Amino acid sequence: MLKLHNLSKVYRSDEVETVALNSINIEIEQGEFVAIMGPSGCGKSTLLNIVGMLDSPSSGEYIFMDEDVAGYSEAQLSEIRKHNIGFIFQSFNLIDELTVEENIELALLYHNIPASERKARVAKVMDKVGIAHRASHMPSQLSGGQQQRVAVARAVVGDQAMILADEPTGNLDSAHGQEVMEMLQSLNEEGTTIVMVTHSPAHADYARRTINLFDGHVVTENLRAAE
Amino acid sequence: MFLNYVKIALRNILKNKLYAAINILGLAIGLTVYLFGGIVAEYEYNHDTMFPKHERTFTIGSILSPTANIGVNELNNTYTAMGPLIKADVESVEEVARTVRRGYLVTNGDKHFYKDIQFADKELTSIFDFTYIHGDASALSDPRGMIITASAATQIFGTTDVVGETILLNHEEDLRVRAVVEDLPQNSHFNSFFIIDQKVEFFVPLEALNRMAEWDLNGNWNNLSGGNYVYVLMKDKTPVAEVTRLVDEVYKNHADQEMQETFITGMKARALKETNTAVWDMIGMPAIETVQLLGVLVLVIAIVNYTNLATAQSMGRVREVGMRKTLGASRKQLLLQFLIESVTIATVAMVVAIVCLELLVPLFNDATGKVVSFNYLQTLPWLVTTTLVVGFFAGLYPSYLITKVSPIDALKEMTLKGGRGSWFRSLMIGTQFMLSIFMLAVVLIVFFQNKKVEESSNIYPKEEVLVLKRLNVESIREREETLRQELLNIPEVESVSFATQVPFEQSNSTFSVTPTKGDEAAKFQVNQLDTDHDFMKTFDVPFVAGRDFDRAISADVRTSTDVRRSNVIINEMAARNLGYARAADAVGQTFWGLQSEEEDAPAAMQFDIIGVVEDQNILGLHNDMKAWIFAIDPVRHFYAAVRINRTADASVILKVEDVWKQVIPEYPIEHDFLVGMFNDVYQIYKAMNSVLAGFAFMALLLALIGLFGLAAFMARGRTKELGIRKVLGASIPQLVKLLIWQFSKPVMWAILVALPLAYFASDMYLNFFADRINTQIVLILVAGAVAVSMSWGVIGLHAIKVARGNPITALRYE
Repeated sequence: MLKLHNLSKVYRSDEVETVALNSINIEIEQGEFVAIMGPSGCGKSTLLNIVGMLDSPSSGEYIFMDEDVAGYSEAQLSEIRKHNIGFIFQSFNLIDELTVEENIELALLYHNIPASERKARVAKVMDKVGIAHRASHMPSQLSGGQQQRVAVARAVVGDQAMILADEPTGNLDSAHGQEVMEMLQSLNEEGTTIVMVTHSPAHADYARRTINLFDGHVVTENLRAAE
Repeated sequence: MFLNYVKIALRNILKNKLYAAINILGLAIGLTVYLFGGIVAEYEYNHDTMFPKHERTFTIGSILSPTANIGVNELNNTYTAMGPLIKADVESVEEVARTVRRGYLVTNGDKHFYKDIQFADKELTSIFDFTYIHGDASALSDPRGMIITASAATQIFGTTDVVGETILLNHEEDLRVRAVVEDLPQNSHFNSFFIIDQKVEFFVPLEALNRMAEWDLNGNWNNLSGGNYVYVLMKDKTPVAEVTRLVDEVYKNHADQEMQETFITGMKARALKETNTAVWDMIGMPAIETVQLLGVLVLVIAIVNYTNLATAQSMGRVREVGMRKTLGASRKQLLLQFLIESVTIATVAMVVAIVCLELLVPLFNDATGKVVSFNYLQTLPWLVTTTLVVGFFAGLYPSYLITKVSPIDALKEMTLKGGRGSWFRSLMIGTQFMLSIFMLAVVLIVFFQNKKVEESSNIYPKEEVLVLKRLNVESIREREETLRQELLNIPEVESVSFATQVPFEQSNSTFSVTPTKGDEAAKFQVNQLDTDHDFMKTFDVPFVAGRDFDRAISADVRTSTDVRRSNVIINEMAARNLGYARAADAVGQTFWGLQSEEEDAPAAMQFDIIGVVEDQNILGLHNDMKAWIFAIDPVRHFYAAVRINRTADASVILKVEDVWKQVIPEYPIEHDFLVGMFNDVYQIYKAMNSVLAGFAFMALLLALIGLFGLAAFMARGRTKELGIRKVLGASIPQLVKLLIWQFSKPVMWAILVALPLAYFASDMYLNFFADRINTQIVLILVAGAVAVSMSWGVIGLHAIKVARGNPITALRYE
């Protein structure tokens, strides 16, 4: 599905140069569930942002579905992103002024989908994540776990092939965290590729492969045997 | 999609109620002021359009030479002699009509009314199509006929069906009502002169004036009085410049050469539509344009306000933008979303503004007697365009800025306090305060100039002189002495003086004099005031040299116009102009009037100086000091000035009225204290100041509201920084200073820019006055200081609250 080749990311300010990613080589196949782990500041989030096309690499190749997108413009990236990639964030990033239903619908708004179909798809995905009874609530009226389920719903409502999750359980208690992980697992089983940054080894265990980063390098890759 | 944007906009409004209220209120104030200015200007610019021939109708005005020295640049009328000449000389003219306004007593049986009568050529009714209730347009063809308005008919006769009834004018002239017309529209030049109240109710043929006052039907070359008009109806639509050229040619061909050089240099035609605003051209003050401009400036301040607040507030919405971008929103879509938001807010503000206008316009009409109306259908395109333009420009910068952030920064909630944002904000704050300080400074300057005018009027005992008006009737002139004696019998009355003019009356009766007989090269203009023995005493005019008029000296009174010699009192300026270094040198000397070249003309007047009085600005207000001569001539006086003891109470007025009723029973009394006559003119200046002050108040209020909102957001953005500073030991005053300083720099810059602007703008007003204040710069600095201290107050209030917060809460905030 995607392939990173000698990919580096360097942040420059006037005097300091910080290497966030150093010649990373990673390949992720369609349908994989990959966890990225490592200490704070090791480059996990940078990697995820580049994979998610929210940021561009300083050098190297990024082949996404057989296209080298490394040099693409923001508009081009945006176009690829909106059809293929869904995001889940630690802090949910729901829009406070919109209801649950409208937040999920937002992901379809920029896709030229007629309103009736939008409604149908939103209803379906809300059922799937078990949030339908809260459809007209505002995010502030929901628990953290519920908010993250809305975020998950938003990430998949557009039938995205890949979900990038940046510490999706970081703000949740263990019960709610597990709930979200199970939801991701079942999405993966339905064929969605999932790349997840996490600190929690327990949650990393849901993934089939774990990539350990340290100071911008890939240190180890562990493959877990299929159960 | 579109509805989604509007929905988000409305929810945002509801969520941030304070912010939205500030924004909507600000824009609504700006819009109200702007729309109001526009409506009033539109009203003033569109007078007289109810007359079908208005596009072919012009009024003829005169351009004054600088040497004319009567305080204005042009007049909205011209010599009545021009009327018949234009008709005879200009081929393309269809009709000419002149009107001459005179105040007369109108009598029906025992009912008396002082009314302004419009004496007119009969062609007037071919130019103006009045709405006839009874009778028809031929009414003025009857030299003893008259046209009367419905409300005047009702007032005098109790009904409008009065054709054939008789009205007695001034106890001497019987006129028959030939037509009753509907009241002339309030928004026609007949009844509208911007501020001065006037009402035309009677049209009477000029022949009547000829019979009553020997007014020459061919017109004359010596009288230019306000309220008189020369109307020209062209055969075809003609550009106003062409009409000006045609009538100017007539003037150049017929008018006296010297008059063309020294007094009226040429003619100026004016479209009928613009006749009502001529007064502003006359005094050289673009009042209506100023009102429009101020309206636009206040709106600009309101837009800047919105831009500032929206930019600051959009910091709180970066995350939303980031998320939308992550989900695939293009920049264009986001720009559109934010612009729709600002247009939504502008729409709400427009609705509020319209409500305000609905309340404001009737109040304005009540106060001014105008009939300004707010027509939704007609103004709809304007309102919609305004809303869109305001929404667009207000939202442009914040939308641009916020949609510029990359999604990754946005999701990290990086705030927008980067370099560009802050200089733009400083520029905006600077602009707002520049405009506010500018307006405030102009208001202060106008206020103090007006105060100076008012103070300078205190040389006359304004509160102690009761002025009796409308004495210019021969039969009253004959009873002056009786009236004086009877009035002096009232214990509180100290003196009584009859005069052709009282202080503050804006009237010039001028002619040329020379120090020696026939020395035309040394001639100069003097204003003449005809009075009696007691003028100086009544008005407290101090003598510098010589003596007052004396009843024992018979030569002080000129008994007939055949007498070509007159004892006069002059003022110091006249003495200087005559070449006397010391006033005392002038006493006993002689000067001369000009010898007319006409056949049978009387000999040149000889004036013998008996006294010199201090220079006093008799016209007062904005006028230059002038050279004056005072004489006792055999002419009708317009006024009786009754000097009343300071300790007298209001009952003295009743006693004066009683005396009048005994001596002059057939004319009702009309009186006013001198201070009232001063205020009649002064109120125009005061009104200007109030209007300006209103605009300035709105501007400053908006700027402060904006600053308050902005300070709130900026402080929130710096909560963490302030917390850290506090943990490190910064004191509250230090933090407050830090916050205040952030906003002070643009305000300081604003003062620097506002200073020259206000200086030049206020010069326009001050130029109108002969006696000017010289504290312009100080006042501008005061305006700046006021704006700065108010802004410090507003920011300070907020800064103290923020700075006093617990640093731990501040640090947890993120």
